[in-house]
Amino acid sequence: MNTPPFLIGATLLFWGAQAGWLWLGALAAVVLEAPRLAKTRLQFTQSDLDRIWNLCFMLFFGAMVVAFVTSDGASALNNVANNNSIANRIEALNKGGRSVILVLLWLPLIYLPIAVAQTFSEQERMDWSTFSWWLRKQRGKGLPRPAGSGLNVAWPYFALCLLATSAANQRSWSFPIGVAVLGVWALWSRRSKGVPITPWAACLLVALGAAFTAQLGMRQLQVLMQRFDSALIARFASGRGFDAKEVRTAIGSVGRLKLSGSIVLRVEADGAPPPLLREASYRLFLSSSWAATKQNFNEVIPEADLTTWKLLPNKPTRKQAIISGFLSGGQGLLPVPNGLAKIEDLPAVRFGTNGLGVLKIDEGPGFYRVQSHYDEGISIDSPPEPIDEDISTAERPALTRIATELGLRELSPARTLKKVSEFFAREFQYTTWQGEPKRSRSNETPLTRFLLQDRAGHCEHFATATVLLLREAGIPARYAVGYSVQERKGTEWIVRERHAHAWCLAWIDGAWRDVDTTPGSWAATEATRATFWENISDAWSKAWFTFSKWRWGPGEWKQYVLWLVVPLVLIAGWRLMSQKQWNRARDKSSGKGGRRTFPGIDSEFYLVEKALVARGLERQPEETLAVWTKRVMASQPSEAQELTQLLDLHYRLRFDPSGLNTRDRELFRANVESWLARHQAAAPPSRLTRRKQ
Amino acid sequence: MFSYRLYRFVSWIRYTVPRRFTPAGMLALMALAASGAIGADMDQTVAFQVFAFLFSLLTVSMLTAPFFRGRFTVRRILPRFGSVGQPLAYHVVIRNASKRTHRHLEIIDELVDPRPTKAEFIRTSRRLVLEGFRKLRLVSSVPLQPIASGLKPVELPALRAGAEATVRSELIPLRRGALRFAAVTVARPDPLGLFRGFIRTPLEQSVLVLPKRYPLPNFTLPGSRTYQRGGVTLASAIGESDEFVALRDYRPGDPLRHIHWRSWARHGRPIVKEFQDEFFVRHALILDTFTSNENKVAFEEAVSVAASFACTVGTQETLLDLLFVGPEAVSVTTGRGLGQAEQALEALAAVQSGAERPFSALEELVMRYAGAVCGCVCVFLSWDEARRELVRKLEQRGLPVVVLLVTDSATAKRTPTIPAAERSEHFFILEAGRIAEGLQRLGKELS
Repeated sequence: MNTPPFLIGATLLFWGAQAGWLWLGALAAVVLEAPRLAKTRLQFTQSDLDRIWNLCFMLFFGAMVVAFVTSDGASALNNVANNNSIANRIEALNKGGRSVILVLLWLPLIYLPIAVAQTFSEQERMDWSTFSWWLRKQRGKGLPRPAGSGLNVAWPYFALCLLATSAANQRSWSFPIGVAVLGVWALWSRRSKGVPITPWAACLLVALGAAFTAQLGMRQLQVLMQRFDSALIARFASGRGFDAKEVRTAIGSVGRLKLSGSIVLRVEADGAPPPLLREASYRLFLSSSWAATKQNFNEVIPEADLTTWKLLPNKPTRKQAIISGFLSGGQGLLPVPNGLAKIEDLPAVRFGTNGLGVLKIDEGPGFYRVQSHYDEGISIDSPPEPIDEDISTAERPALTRIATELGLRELSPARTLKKVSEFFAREFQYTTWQGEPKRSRSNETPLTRFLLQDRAGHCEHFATATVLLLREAGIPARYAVGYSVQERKGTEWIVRERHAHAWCLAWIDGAWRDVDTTPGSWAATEATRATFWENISDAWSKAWFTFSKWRWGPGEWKQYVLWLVVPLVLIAGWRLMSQKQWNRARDKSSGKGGRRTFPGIDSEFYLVEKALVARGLERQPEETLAVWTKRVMASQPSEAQELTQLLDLHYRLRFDPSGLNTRDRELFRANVESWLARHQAAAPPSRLTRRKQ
Repeated sequence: MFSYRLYRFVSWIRYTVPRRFTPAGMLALMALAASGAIGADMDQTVAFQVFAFLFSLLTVSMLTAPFFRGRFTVRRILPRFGSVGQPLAYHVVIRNASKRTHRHLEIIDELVDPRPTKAEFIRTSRRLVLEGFRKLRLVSSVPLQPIASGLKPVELPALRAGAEATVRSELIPLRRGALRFAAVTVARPDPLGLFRGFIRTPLEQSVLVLPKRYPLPNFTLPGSRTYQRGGVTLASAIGESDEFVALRDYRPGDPLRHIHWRSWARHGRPIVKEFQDEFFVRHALILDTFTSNENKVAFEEAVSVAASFACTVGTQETLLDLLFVGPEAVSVTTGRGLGQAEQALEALAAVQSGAERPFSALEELVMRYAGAVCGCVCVFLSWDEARRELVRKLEQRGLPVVVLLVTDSATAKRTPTIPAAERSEHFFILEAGRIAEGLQRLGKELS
């Protein structure tokens, strides 16, 4: 450890206190600071370090899985097995976004093994290859490495602990003060010894002041950002989806969605799928933009199983469709067919509707796969009100002119619908979305231009014109946005962003009906935008969809993932601990301590040596066993052969990497014993005699 | 070109950041990036406070660092040679020419910018695209490789006004040829110790970096000793009779039994004995330089193999003629006092691909020497008809020829084994990256 004494300990305590696990922090601090007092050091080989790093990696991986599954920290770990209520689990799942933060909070514990290894290690630095599989592979290649390279993990671990502490998200002043104290402590320890204290302190004070100001400024900025007009954000963001109540829903919002071919919804139906899936409807037209006026959502109460929602309790339905899609952040609008009466399998916590048929999920899963029951002639939308027949003055002249031309006023509602549809099919053309039209200087509105001059536009123009024309004819109408279901892929129907659509809702015979006057060619026109890699992106989308179904679907599997992690970590731990005992480093200061061990220390040849020494054939300090044996053999030629054989076996036991096999080892032992027996019989125990002398 | 600008920018960052920031500063910088990423969502964590703290510290450091003022005169004491892959140590002498004492100074040496020019970069990257990803590392490794590694700031002792200090610096050259230094920078960390202020003194010098050498096993090149017309004047120097002549420094490949242990003990570095002789062998070492850029890795390895022979064989009992064709036809004779192995290595340090010239240029050069030598070692990059023809001609003259075919590993895997009929008697394939193993095999067969 090259950090100053007790800095890491204090940091871990700070982390523990902030995270609410003071005892854990204290324990880790004691483990890491103990070697300063105990002076015990271990000698880690490179493979030990590799395994310790592997363990850290396994812990990290395991933590990711656990965080992903529970997203609720240590307490969730305990009660996840008992967690049967869907609502509870959804609540946990909703914290999904916090899972990364959670892992961040655990990092000091996850990387504790490698920090402990550094603390107890004799080596000042760990080789870079410890931390990278790629570098480990390069090891054998003998690449030149500058001296003194490597990493002491103490300082990075210190930084990691500080960052981890921030994930505890304590909003009091204790956090910044703690960070400042620990940071100043660290800087003080690293300061060059001769730097005068005055400039050092002055710099530090300036920096602290600036930090204080900066973080205040950042808070202000955040508040400002939150107040920032969400319409502006919507304008610049390219995210999918519609807004249910935003007043400024520009007419181009559907068109903008049409730029992409990515799949947003999947529909499964036995027969024909619902042709249109509505996400939102609006009724107030403010010259080129539509707005909803009913902004309040009423919460819907689920049935006893918490996943079934009856919107029209007593209406029987004949049609069903399964609709799947994603909800970013567990929030969004549910695209549903007109005439929806009941939804099943929607594990949402808060779910509401606003009387314009908009279904809004406030707290739900990130992915849904709902069974919708619907039928014609019914709807959850509120009955028409005077505002549903309102026409803005700017468009009125053009609308009046066309209504008069077509003679709409005299016709029945059903005939009016037919006439209007025919009118658009006959006189108008579909063009793809070209961006916002340039503003002309005259007070002519875009819609007027569409109706009287261009006679070409995309679905938003058609839908808007239809709504207003029907209103002009005295039929209450609303503007609807959503998706058109038109592409079949395998057994299911897929809906791409390109299929985003706008149409008209008309109140006919006491119910809201979908009226789509966009020429039928629009689907073909939009399909030409398909890119050549669409199949690849579709395959990816399918894979992600399948994974999401599994990830968010019901089932008790998530506990099993936990049980999968436990053996993995255990295996890593076992590999770490079992393969080799760590050598305790010799205490260099005292010069004694641990005993040297080497292969062949148990060789019986040393007994032979002892016996020969006892006979007065002393071995000189510079003599190797081979040289000495040669000398012995010169004086006692009779034993030459036997000694050579024994020496050979001894050397093999001592230096051959594969050692002696069992048979040779036994042979060696037996030979030595017989040699000793013969010589001790020949010469009486010399040691004894010497002692007596 | 965007990718070139990106490459320049990224390499600039990678070069500048570790020079400008102290280790503590680097850690702060990384923590700043991490806290910035984590703290972006200010509702989830309070990492933004860490960010603010680190940001302020680094800003104050960067603002105060430029207040470093001083005048220094700097001198570098460089050795004549370095070797690829071997640490090159040298000294830097610095004198404080200002009127105040400076403490906590560091010296950072600066090499000439090794980055390829835009044209080179485009050529390389175009080749990358053309030849596919598989060769990416092979092709890119040479032109885009750094020229040296391990260049670190070196701390200086406190320097009083007018005082001088000498510090030892070290780097590892990674490419053969001239290693050019551009400037010496005197750096001082700011009071907080995170960021360095610089005073740069231009100082251009260069060291010749010799090619990488492999240890060669003890072997005898085929060919008998022949009478040399140079006679005693050539044979006056070093041989292998029992007559002891001198001591010299150990070079890789010297036989261990020639080591003079007492001198080693006295000087602390290996020293070997040299003996006199009057009969000797003369060998030609032929280096094939006719290669496209694609084969650059193999070419570098071939140069290394030639260098290994030049410094081993040249110090043994033989006279060695190094023959190759770069832009010019080059021959260097070493051994026996005629020239030192260093001369051959110097020539090899500068050898360039001779792709523009025909192979016959080499053949012409070799045949000029063929009468004088008694054996040839050919380091070839391919084994085609022209090269076979050259070997055949040499063999017809009764010269034993050792052919070493150096290939990169990809080519080695791709090419089928060469049939025995097409090989010469001593034919070895050396695969780039496994040259040392191949040379050991060669040693076994020739010994």
